[in-house]
Amino acid sequence: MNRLLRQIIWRGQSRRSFVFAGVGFLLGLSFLLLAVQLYDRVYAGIRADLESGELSRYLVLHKRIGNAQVMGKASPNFNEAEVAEIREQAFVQELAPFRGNSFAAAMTMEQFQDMQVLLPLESVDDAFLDTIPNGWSWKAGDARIPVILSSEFLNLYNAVLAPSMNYPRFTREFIQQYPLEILLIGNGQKRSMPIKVVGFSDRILSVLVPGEFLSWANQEYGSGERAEYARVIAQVSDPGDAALKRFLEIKDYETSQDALKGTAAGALQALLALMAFLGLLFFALATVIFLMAFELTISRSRQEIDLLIQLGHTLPSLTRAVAGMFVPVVLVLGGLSVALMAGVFRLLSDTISAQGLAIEPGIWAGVWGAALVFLGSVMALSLWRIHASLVALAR
Amino acid sequence: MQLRLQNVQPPNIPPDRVRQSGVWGTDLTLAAGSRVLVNAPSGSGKTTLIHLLYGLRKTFSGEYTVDGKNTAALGRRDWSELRQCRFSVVFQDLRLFPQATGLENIRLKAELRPVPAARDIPGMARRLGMDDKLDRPVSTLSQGERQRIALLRAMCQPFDWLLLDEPFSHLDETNIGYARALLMERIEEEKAGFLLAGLGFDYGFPTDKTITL
Repeated sequence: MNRLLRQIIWRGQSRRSFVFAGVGFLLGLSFLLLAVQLYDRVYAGIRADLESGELSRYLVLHKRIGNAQVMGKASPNFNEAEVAEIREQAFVQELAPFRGNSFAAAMTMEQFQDMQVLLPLESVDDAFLDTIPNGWSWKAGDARIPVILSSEFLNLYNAVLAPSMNYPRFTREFIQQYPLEILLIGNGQKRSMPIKVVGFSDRILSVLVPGEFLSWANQEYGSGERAEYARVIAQVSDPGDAALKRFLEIKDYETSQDALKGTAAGALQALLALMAFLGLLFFALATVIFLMAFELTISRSRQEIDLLIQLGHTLPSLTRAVAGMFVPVVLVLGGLSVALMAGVFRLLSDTISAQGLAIEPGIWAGVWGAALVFLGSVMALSLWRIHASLVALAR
Repeated sequence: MQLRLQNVQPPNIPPDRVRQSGVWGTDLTLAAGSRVLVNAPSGSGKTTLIHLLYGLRKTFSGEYTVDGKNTAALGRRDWSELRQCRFSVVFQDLRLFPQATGLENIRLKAELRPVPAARDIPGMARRLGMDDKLDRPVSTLSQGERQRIALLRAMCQPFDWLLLDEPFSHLDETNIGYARALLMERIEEEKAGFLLAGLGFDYGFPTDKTITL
């Protein structure tokens, strides 16, 4: 019967509006679901890291190297006054400068006589380390120097340096066991000391040694402690703070890796907002077109519907007939939207990963929930509107 | 099912017609199972009466009750229910779906409340000489053929009252005879009454009451 009613009502009706609305619906819902998926799989993780202080609340700042610094007309380092100025900013909670080596240092290995990897040694207050590993201490007279390597530094070594120089590659576990040495050169002296990689840092891109060691080595092999610093690390209240960005711009300071993530998080937030906005816009337009198309269909079939009512057909059965294949078509469009979203998400995953952002694979359960909510809404709204139009016609 | 019109007056009926009428402005009771011939000259409100009884016309003064229930209190669902299983009708203007086939037109009514008789629509159509035309769009049928489709549609549902508004105007005597026989069979099966509105002819139907509009 329902099929027969559909034939009577839909005979000679144009489906063009529905096709148009269907395409908009598919795009809109895909955008919305992609925004939901990205929110959970990427943004929520970054946000959680930000809120827990794990990620971008730590910013490593350095001066932008411009012509003035290259020509020696301006210092590339922060002096004490500049460090104090940064420390005074409202958005800075804690701050510590990095102290660097004023002597030459290179990593060597007994088995590879010609291997010398220059090491930029730095030390920073322990409070700024991701974790403080066992063995992280040094005092004058200790033979072995503990080192915390940046994860990125190890990646760079394995990916670029080792193959180009024919050096061995290291896993994290292996490099912690391997007998490495550091060659200290300066003040007419040269000395080899064993080093041990005791941990890795995701926060600080550097080769970190205990402050006591650096002070001793700078005195012994370098020009002593400098009163200026190439980099400082700051714990900030909100890395997306506009005042922070403005300060960095005015001062011509740059931030390193963590800030990049913070910036990427900001960009992602803007992207998600744009996608959600566009998705909602498309979705709302498609829904409105659906509703108008149904009203037009009812209006064009006014005589047929009127006669069906006269014959004893009820409004619920006529509502079902006008809705026709709408419910199954919407469900199919919903499935296609999820599939389209999953495809785009997969394509985007590589790009997002390349930005240094962690991305979880798979479709979040919330996406299915959101799809059901959106599909349910458009179906309920359409059926309600059809019924209301039929009630108006039946009066 | 008893129908009662108490002082009912549709606004489109002239006062002089109301004064002469045996229906308008009177107290008319049609008992269940009555066989009523409505003798109505043109313009006296024959179609108005059929539409009023069937619930299509609701602008009138007075009171129309169905089994003692005032129809003014009936809603859409009540009328759908009445039209599905208490009232059947053949409209004067037939009111068929022209693009649908004869069979589709009949099924649109028959499948609402199936009755045993409607299981063999082709068999019923054969008795009216319409079995080979059921699958043709109504728009391609003659007026007489359309009238027979409308008659078949009216017979393929349960009913207490069969309302016939000039149902044979385009049929010859032979076909009227076939239609009458089939209609009476169904009326007997349903133990229903009928109200035949025409220009004074009873077309051979056994009636027990004649009223003049």
